[in-house]
Amino acid sequence: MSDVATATAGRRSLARRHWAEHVLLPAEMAGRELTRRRTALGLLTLLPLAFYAASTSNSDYAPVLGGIAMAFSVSGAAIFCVMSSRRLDSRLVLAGYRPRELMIGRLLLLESLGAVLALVFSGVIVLGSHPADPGELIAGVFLVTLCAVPFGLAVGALVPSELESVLILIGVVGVQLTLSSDDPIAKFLPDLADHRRVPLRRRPVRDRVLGGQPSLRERALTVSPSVRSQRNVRWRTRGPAASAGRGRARRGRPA
Amino acid sequence: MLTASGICHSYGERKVLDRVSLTVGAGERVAIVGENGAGKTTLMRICARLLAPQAGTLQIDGRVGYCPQLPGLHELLTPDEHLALFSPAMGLTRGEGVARGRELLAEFGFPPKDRRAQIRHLSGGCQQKLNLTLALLGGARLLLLDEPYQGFDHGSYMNFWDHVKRWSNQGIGVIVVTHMLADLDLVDRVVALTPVLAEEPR
Repeated sequence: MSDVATATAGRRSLARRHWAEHVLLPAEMAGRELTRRRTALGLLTLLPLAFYAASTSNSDYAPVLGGIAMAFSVSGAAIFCVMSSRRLDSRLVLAGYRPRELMIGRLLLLESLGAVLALVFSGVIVLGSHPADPGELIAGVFLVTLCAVPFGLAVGALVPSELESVLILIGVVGVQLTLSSDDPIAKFLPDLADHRRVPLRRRPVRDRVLGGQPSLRERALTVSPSVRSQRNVRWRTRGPAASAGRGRARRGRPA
Repeated sequence: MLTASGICHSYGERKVLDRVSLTVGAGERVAIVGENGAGKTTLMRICARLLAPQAGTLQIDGRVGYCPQLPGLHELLTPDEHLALFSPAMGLTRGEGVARGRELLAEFGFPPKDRRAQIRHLSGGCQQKLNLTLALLGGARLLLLDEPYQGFDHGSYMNFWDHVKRWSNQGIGVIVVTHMLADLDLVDRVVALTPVLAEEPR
């Protein structure tokens, strides 16, 4: 019996070693390469912040734009990570790696990087936009990152060149922005802007100002089909019965 | 060791390889020659199983080491990091792989001070030496070397052929793509590829 236990422990130890060497080592090397691209890392961080800062005059839409820029950044980093490794990857696979090991390593690395970026960006939004529910906002921002990395990796792996990959990325996010939530195509697009469900505290004056731009706000809140129900609550807060609707909506929120 | 027969491959409508056959035995040195576009690199990629032939069969015994014409290394990583990255795939620990790789690099005359320099700061010859080292790291039984000495100085070039002879004596099959006619005396057999003539439209 003890022999069986020893053999099992040995197999587990080998599996752990295999995992560390075949998944974590490629992730480590991809991380080393990425951290040496200081300009790219700087832009990766600055892009969402710049989008957010440039649109703070419209506080409802600013986190959406920042989130889109973050999805661009993270997906773009994933695309270039796959593209720049493509030639060497074929040799690594010939040497003995499995393609999925290289891909999982890259996924872990980029998700970690994206989590750091999401943390920074969430902090900036919480401080700058005072959302009604910061927890939900942070969860939304992290979900955007979670979706953006595998999407970027998939595009990078399936599309032959960088130009086409970036155009697909721009196209998907752009189409997602312009589609109505009722459109069946929207259901098949990756949810790169899930944080739109985040409830933001609205000031009455700003609310009145933004009331004149329904299409912009509607797009900001309804690109993802998953936010449809929240959108309905929100839209009831405007119009002739605004005060009653807003009161119901606020009472429904957690303290 | 390697038996390829009836290999055909096209890029779009352009046929590159048409029923090519190649056999390489243990310890045999074979040179592949041919003008540009004759399909030398395509044949090497097929032999390395990086490209699936559109027709024909391929049988290889043992591990293959492939040194491509273009290194395709990570520009921001160092030679030591490349050695570490390749090691586990070849059944070596990180330390073993780096140590073995450093020995091979030293045999090719790679300057020790450059082992921790990023690839983008290395000369073309040094990058090619690393490229060759990565092909040899895992103890391959068959080496596919696609113009492996590009950027080598004269001493390194002569040294390379001494290594080929030594690998051959160890029973390793070596296929070298070359344009240098002087190299042809240093191999056991020469395989000449000629471009496939396009059919005239009727």
